[in-house]
Amino acid sequence: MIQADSRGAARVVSRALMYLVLLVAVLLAVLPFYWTVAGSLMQPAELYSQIPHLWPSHPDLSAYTRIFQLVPMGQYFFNSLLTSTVTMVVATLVSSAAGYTFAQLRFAGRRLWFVLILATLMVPYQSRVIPLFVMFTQYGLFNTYVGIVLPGLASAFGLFMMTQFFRSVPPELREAALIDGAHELRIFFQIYLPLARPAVATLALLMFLQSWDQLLWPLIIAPRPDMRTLQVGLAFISQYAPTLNYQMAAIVISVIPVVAAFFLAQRQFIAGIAAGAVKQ
Amino acid sequence: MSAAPAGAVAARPAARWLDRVGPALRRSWPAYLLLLPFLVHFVVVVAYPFLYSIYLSFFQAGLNEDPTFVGLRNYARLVNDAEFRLALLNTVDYTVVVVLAETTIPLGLALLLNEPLRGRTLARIALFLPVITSYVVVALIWSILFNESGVVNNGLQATHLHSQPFFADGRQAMAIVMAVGVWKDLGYYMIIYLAALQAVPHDLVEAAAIDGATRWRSIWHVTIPSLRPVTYFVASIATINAMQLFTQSYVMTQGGPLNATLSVVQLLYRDAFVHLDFGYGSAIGTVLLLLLVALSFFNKKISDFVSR
Repeated sequence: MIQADSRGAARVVSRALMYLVLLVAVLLAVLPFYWTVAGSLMQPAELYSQIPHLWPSHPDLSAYTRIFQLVPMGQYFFNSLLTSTVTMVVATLVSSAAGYTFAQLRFAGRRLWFVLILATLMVPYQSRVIPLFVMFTQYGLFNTYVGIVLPGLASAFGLFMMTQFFRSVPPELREAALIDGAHELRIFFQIYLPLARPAVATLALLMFLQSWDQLLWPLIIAPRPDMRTLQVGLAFISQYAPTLNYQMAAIVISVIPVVAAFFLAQRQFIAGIAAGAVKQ
Repeated sequence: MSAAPAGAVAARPAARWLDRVGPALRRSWPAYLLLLPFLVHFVVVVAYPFLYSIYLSFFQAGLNEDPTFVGLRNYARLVNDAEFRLALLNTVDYTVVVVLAETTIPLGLALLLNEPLRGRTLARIALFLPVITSYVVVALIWSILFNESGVVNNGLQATHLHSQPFFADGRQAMAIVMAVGVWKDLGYYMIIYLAALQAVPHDLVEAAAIDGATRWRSIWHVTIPSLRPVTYFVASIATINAMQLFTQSYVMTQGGPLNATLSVVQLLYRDAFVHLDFGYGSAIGTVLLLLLVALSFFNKKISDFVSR
């Protein structure tokens, strides 16, 4: 009896402990975001007050209009949306086509190319940044959208992910289509690519996020104020926004699209990002 | 007169070569049509720049000057550069702390979320929020929190504790940079552990329970050992990511105070794009590359050992 009781008590205590740890972890993850939203709605006097207010006494949206006057937020947004969308579409298509080819077709040089591409996965992106800059400035790509986008238009990671996927699709589909006289390009676009829709969606999501989040390359190749992407603009925000409430408003505006997309499709997001375990 | 037979002799091996290669070409060209965009991109923006960066590291090169060959001078300079040594030390410091935290804390959280607790779906979403926000945003949020007159310092003062210098103090600044790295990626590694936990053989856990093992003992002796491969996997990705530290320290501290948070990549950025010393920057890039390759081989050895 006594033993059973102490077991039960130990169980309750360990449960309570688990909930406590979980609560602390969740609070630590969420509070910085909460404070950013709350602070963006405060006047500077309240934001900097000696005794922190947990919620603005007079919620005020003026920082959200003022930040658009302080920095070209609209332009930053446009630049990011444009470059990330182009990167997503092109990189997904190009990497999927290459992945399909390696998985389903036999051709001269197949092994060699595969090994070469695999070997460069280990090369850190940062060590290529200098030669890319030298090349791109020679060809007039400094401060251009093409310059921002070009290095990301194909992904070795995407190639391996799609190769993996297309290996699981039976080759008979292609053989039958070939007998019917279909061309290889048509077979890929009309039969295999639609089959791969879930994998393609995952890859597209990863490509978009990767492009949206990057700082180093756009900072180097497109530093001119009107060419800055959202991340580059945010990195310089403290020079333009005198008080923290404006910076906080800029942060909130910048994360709205990604966070909204996350809440709409959080299952796909989590699965997709987990699939992208080997980033870059 | 004598030209014709000579030509015929020359044509024959060529024809034979064509006979051999022709079918291969005919067979291969549709594949190359599909591969072409990828391969062109690969050659132009991956392979060539990679070789070019190694080449540049042996040159004195700037924005508007023709590169002049200097042999190993950039590397010799690297060895004697106190800034580089500091950047390397900082990066290794950062990597050790962050990798330790990122292999253990997410494991704990994943084990927790694997229990039938109420609200765990919500908790998973909350812990994933930092993962979907960019490094720049995360760094900005934390630099606002730990601002001289930010909410953390005000909170400390309000509770009659001393306010802290945070970004003005080298050690504290580095601690914050580390904390941000861990905070941002916790949820990410947690998801990887959670996925691996689904694959832990149930019969093993049940057998342990039948043998009278308590929950904690079975986690410690059965679950965690079976997660060894994924732990290794997490540690190796975390290491590679941590060695490339740039964004947090660029946004929050610019490498300061007094280079206390200067990282290797940041030094590369500074030397190449602020001082416009492309040769020296490329030497730093090449050293980073060698370090990462060495780490990968080291990792491979550990992995082989672990999975034995």
